[in-house]
Amino acid sequence: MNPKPPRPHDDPGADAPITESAWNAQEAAMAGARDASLDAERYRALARAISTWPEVPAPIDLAGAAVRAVEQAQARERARREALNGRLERTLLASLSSVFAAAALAAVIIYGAEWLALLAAHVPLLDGWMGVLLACIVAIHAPDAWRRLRSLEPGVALAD
Amino acid sequence: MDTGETPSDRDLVAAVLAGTAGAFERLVRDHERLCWHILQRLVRDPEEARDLCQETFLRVHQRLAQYRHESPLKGWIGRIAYTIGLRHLEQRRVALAGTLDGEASAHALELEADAGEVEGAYLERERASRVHAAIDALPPLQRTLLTLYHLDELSIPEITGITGLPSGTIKSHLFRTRARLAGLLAEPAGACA
Repeated sequence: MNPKPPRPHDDPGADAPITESAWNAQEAAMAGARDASLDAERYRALARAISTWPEVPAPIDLAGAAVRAVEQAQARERARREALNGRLERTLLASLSSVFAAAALAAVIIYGAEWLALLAAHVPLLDGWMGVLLACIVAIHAPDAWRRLRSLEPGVALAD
Repeated sequence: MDTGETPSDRDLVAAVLAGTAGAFERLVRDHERLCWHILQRLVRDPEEARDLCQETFLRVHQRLAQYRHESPLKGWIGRIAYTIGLRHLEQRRVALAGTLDGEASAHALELEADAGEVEGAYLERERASRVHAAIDALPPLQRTLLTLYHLDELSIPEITGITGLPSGTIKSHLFRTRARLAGLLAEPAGACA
């Protein structure tokens, strides 16, 4: 069987545990304790050296840059959501229109003949689908034509 | 239970979540030093560290609503920075923790230990410089743990919160690193060459 692949933190050197007393002794030596059992001088020097370990200074405007990065990410997210909402609205509208169209078609197929007979009985002129289609076109355009006729001024009509 | 969270942390988080002007910038300013220390010591390249710092605070902003105040904000942000740094090293296939066989440190010392006569303050500076070179040559994990413990003065439990490493492992890394560095101090200049 293959051995398990090492995890990022695995370190062969860290496998062997250290004792709490060894840790405490080193801590005491680092702190400069007089009774430290380790070589206190060396550890004191090490502590001083670590404390003077030069830092690479952080970029001056790190906070400003981080805030700007967040604002840019928020703007991108808003634009993405708006685009998504627009797409969703269009999809819903198209779906709803399709449902209405399908329902209207089904209603005409099921009840159309019945409606036609009823219509022909009352208005003989509308006998047959062509008559109904003609009536629909007239019904759609008649109000608009009527409004246009009424809005025309007599003077304008004469000038034309 | 004492979570170590300060009252100002709670107020600051609430202000950021409420979208108060300047609150997020203050949060960044409060924690940028720790974030920078972690990432700069992990990846070493200042440009990469700066980009990763920005990525960290972007992630902090995105996830702040999920912060449950169960641990100090400092540790929570440090954990995010550490995770991002770790992922970066994995992508670059950089080994996080190496063995302290002294090869890298000895190489660093070779560069530093060509001084002639050394005495007093000069000796002290020379020793410190040798240690700094050796620390810089440490693997990323050991270097970062040393930074968090000695420069940021975080406790072992706080470092555990950031790195996710058991406290025994952290102590073991620190112990061995410091023993190795102290050993270098005992060697006379040029002894490693």
